[in-house]
Amino acid sequence: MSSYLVTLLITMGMYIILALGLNIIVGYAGQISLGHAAFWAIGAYSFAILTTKFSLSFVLSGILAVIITVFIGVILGLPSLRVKEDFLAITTIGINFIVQAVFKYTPFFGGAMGIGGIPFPKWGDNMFTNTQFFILTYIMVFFAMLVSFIFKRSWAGLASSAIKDDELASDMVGIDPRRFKILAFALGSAYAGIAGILYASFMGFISPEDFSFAVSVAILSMVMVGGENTIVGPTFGAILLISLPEIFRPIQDYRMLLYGGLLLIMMRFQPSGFFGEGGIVWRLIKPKKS
Amino acid sequence: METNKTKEILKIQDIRVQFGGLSALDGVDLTIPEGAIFGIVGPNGAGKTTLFNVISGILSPTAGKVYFNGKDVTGNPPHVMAKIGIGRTFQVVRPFSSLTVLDNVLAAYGERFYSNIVLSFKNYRKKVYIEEVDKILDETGLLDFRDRVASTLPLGYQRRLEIARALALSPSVILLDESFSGLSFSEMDELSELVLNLNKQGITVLIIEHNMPITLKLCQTISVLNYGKKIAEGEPDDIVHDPLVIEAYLGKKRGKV
Repeated sequence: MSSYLVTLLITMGMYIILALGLNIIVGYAGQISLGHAAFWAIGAYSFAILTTKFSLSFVLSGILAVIITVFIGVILGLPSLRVKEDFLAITTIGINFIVQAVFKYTPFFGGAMGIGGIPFPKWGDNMFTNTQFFILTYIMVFFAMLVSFIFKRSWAGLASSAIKDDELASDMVGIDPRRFKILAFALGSAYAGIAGILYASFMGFISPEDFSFAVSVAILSMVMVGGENTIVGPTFGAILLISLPEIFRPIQDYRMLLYGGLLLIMMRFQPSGFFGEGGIVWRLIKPKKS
Repeated sequence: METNKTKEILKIQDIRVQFGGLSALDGVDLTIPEGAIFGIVGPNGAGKTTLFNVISGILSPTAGKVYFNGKDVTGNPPHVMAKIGIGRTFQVVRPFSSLTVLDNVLAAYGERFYSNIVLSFKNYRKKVYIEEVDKILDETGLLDFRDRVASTLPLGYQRRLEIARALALSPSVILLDESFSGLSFSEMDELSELVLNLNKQGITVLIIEHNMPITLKLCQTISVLNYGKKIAEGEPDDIVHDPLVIEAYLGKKRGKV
């Protein structure tokens, strides 16, 4: 494989993990989040700090980074217990900006210059090749899918669907909405943490600009365009939205226009996404019941 | 009050609920004996649903106590009330609209697993659980609809679904908030049959109902609320002849001119 293709596929893998993580929060538990890049940033920065400033090993830093991301993710998920829908959307946008600002204006986190020299994983004494990193990424993608699958068919998944449909009614049948919302945020953050580690390590350099609000919108677009509440949907959405700008390289400058336009068309004609319930793909594959 | 030998399952003591300047409930006392079918009637805005909201934990009362099986459960959140055995339906149906009928009831059946994080991650579509839920669906007449998405059910069946969901909690008390409204005559007959059946199994039933014939037929005791106060309580026959009740529903007799 050419190194260009490997890089592209690794980026795609990271976004698949991010989209699947956001899907747990938005698609499964119905808690809108427009600040998913913030969780990604926390994962990436934790890993960067632990490896560069504390010189911890790749694996140990990775594990700690995920724990830190989950911990902060749960705290940032607390507003979802109090605010709903539009208000939650705005709150999560705020969280995105705050987290970005903290990384940008705190010298400890490298400020606007970011953090460089983040190590690549090692295999014995040798540095990973890009192909090995690609394999590592897709092992993580596989686990992300597996956990999503287990979650969706578990009691916790059922409880989350119930909360998404009617929070009060779910409370009345013995589901503690707070518990399962926090659980969704914790899982979603764990995914973002893993994606953050992969990103920081692969790029070797991160700066606050990598985790802007526009990135959060892009991740949410992947989930919605592909079809929330499914596993194949966000995966497809990530592949589509990462590969489209590459295919249409000549119009690279119009990438955000492409995202926006696609999102608009999807919301108008296919609100449940390509692979969502009643989505266009299922209608094409399955013969209509008479 | 008459002294009854049967155990009281639910005791509501001097409940007050204040919404700003408005007293939705103004010191209501109720004692519900175990195994009863207990009716709560009253004109619109009398505070009936507010009372159910207090019992089921949706509202915390401004003052007063709720005792369940002798234990003070005032102000517990709904999922705790559900866990200890209080199930309810809503006046305006609230099914989990994107889930199938089976999953709707399973979601309530899962109540026994939700507080354990390990069990929470186990597969819920196991044969044992589905068989249990199928029994409830059979009892409530929903078995033919088990794989239908809840939002596509007719209203009468959505009301049954709410009852099925409450039953999946294995409740000792079930609160029915106008479950009979909007049903056809045959649907009402089937539903009263179901209520009597549940009661025979030992479930205490609290009913809010506007349909007087049904209430009078089903309930052993009826409490009448008006403007947040209990104005009468007794057997159905006494209630319909109580002057205060007639006044609340039909207005005062005009004085002599």
